[in-house]
Amino acid sequence: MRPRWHKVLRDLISSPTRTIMVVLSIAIGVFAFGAILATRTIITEQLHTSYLAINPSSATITTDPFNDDLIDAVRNVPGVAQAQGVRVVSARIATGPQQWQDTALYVLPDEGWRDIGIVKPWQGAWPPPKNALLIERASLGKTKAAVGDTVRIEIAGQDSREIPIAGLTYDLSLQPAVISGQVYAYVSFDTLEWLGGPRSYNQIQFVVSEGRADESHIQAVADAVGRLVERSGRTVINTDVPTPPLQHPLEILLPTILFILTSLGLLSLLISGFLIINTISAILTQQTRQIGIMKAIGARADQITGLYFGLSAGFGVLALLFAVPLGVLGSYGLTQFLASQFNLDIVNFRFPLPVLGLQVAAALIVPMATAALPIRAVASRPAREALSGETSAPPAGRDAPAGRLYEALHISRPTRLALRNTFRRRGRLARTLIALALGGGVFITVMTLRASLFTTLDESIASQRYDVEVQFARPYRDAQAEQAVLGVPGVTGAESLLRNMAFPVLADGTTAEGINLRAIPANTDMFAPRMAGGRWLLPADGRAVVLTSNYLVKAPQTRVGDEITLEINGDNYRWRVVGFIEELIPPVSPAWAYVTIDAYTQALGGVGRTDTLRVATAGHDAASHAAAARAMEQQLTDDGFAVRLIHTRTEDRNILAERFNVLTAVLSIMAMIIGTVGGLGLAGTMSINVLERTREIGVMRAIGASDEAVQQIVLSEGLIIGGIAWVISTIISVPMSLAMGYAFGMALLNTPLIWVYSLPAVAMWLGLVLLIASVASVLPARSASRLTVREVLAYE
Amino acid sequence: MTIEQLPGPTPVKAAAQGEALISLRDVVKQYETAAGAYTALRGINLTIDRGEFVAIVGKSGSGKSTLINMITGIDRSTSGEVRVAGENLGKLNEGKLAVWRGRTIGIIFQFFQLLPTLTVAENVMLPMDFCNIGTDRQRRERAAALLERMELSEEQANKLPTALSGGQQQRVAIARALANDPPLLVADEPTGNLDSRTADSIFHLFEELAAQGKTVVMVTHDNDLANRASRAVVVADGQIVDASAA
Repeated sequence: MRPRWHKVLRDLISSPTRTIMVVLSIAIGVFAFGAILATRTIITEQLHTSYLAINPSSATITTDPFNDDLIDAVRNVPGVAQAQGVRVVSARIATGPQQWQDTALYVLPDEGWRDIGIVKPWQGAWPPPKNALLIERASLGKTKAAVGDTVRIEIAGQDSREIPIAGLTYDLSLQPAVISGQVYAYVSFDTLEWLGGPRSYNQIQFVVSEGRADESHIQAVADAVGRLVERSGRTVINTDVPTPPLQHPLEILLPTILFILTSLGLLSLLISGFLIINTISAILTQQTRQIGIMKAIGARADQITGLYFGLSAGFGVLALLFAVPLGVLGSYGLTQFLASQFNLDIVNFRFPLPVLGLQVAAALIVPMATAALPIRAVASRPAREALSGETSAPPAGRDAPAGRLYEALHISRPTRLALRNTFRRRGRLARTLIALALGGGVFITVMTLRASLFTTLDESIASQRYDVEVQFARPYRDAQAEQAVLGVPGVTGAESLLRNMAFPVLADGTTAEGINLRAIPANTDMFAPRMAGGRWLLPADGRAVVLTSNYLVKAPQTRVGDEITLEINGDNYRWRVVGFIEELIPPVSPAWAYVTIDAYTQALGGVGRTDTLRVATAGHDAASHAAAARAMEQQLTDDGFAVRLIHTRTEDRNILAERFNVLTAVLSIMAMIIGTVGGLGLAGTMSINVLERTREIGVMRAIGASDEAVQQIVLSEGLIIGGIAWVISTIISVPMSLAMGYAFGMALLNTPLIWVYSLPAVAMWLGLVLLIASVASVLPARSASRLTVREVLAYE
Repeated sequence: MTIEQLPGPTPVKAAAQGEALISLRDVVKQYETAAGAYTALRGINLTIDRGEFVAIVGKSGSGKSTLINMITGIDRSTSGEVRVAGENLGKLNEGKLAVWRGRTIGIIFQFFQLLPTLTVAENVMLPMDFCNIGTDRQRRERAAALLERMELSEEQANKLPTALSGGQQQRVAIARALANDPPLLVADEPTGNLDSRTADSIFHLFEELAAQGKTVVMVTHDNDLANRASRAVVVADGQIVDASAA
């Protein structure tokens, strides 16, 4: 090996602390970047591949009950490759005394296997045994039961029955339970009949023979199937063509989540870059004279440049030794975490080779690219300047005004020295501050995002002025139903409404995905929504509708004042859009529409009847809600009402909070990583500063400075840098959190989050940054104070 | 032991027949400082022939080191012409100057200036490495031979410079200066940091090298040593006040 490369190797090992610091900062950046990129690649590919493997339906048509004859006819429609009938029934499973969990009950064929949207056996019995049910594995937790347990299930309008959970299934065609909040259960037709359900299908699912990714082609085939259904005397209630086809319901959320994570990964890499500039600059400053000697003995500028590029690459290679295995571990953990949230199985986890290549490139290129400027600057410096040891350090400026300020503030001499030291190397200070401030900025942003998410959640829940919602299996007289619940102790009010499904009619006459319709009193006391545009319903409104803002995902051109046609119970009704409200509904979930109960009953009948009660209780905590729900259920059952579902505001909040916790946990981990890189930056800067001032420290000690005084100067400098970084973090976190809150809200909830700046996070970061600054300064300060005067004065 | 001349890609331009190895004409060097312009050299005219052993003497701040920097191309003149070994240094860019310097001049510093993270042998091999002279094996062999000539053992050759005494380090620096077998050796106070006995032995080495045909230019403020050179050039206030003292 050439002597010059020996020099590079020995420079790497001659100062282990410095090397470890730089290597760690690069490694953490490359690790975070690689782990996120690998997770992104694996999750995106496997979600898509796994989804395709279940043979997802090209379209689903909901219609009146039918049997296999209609399916046989659908199979003969040109363009249809496969078709099957599906029966899904709304049900609920008891999770405790008078506590119920909303459940979608699917019928599987006798042999278990479906052709479309394949449900796989996961554990226990297969196919669903007689008078037993299987539960989708990701929703089992919501039943509060285990395989082998017996639960009580009730389908709408029927008596409840005890039924064993005979096993688990794996169904990737459905939204994960953590998102939908529903339990998915599977039974045979025999079992459904035993539970009181019908022995017929209500949905047609089909797969087109070609153009599976062509939405317009699928729509054309769906129209043909729809015409066939109508010719059979049935009504097409809804036609659902997924947009875009062949995409898992959650794939729409992935880009935003992964974009934010990737941005954070890149940010940590960028912060590493600043630290590398600082370290390489410090090394160059320290070795200025050596560079002069090398030039004097014949080294060209490009050879010097190559040498220090080699050193930078050496840091990168060492960083790879940590970053690659950590990246594999990190991506494994993050992939498994996200996969569990998406109910996805990662088959054969393999770290993607292109990501490994990118990690190698990042670890080598980032240090070299960031160090290029300081290296070029020093390498091109004339030999005489380099030999004389001249550096580009700015000369000490006059600070008479500052001196007077220090006097006025009674700042001690060591602290004054620390203040002056802080600003001596302004470029280095700027890069350290950027690294530390970005780390802090991200930390405060993530905490603010968390606070905003939960505030938005609480506001949304608070807009529901009711505590419990009771859904009946069929309509009852409203006065009777209200009377029944008002007799329950603790109930302070009740309001009747009607619910239905509505299907927006498109320009071509087909219907879009169904939306939840609620007909409620215009002057309701039980709902105070946050308006996103337009206004709330007025008593005098005729056919007026207020939509949740996620309606705009499917129909972005809709504006306040537009008229839309909704198909309700098979007939079309025109409604004028008077407003949009913000509700916490994922974009993938159906939108909600609110109309006045007067306008609704005028159009569809049902005056004086209700199928849903919203009830206010005296207590608003979880225990009061649970107790009220139990008491109401008992009372209503005793009074002969068929209750379909009771859910409380606390339960609704918990379902949403569960989703948010997952997100904020991932973001918090990223914030910690970025904060660590920033902390390493400060530690690196402090050790470089002390190293460069070794001789100065020796002089101070020679003229009587105590160990404590030396340590105080170094520590003060670290704390000053930490304090300045904290101020900058606080300032930049405002626009960062606003932007992230908007992006997150729009992507996940289709509404910007209510921005709540997290002051506890600001205080927490101040504590953390001062702790980091202290730790980062104490070690170099102790080293500095331990050197003997002779050692430091001899320091070259 | 003989020290072989190694093949190299950039041969030193031969000076014209009868041309002095070093020729400075009306060389002026000014520095811009915070206190204003400072003239370090004021119209220097100097010629040094091949094989001469020239001592440059003068008080601190007289301009000796600046003069040396002009000859080695470490610094450029503000005006005037510097020709060394047939090259007009003012016409070479920094890159060419570095290669030329590596091949033509061996520089020895007062504080040895060995690279602390390289072994003694590697320090000697470094100029050959930068100037792409010889193979790795040839460089190793030449470094070993030079160090042996400087009376340094093989064991010492594999040590870091800090493990050697000042005199030994200066011998390593001389070995390094000889690595590319340059025709000219320039030493800036090479004995200034050594005790008198060691300084004498180092000076004796220079005398031997001069006797073998190397041109040696040495800055010193030691008049006794200067008197042992074939010629002494006395510098004062940036001017040569006596170029013929011996």
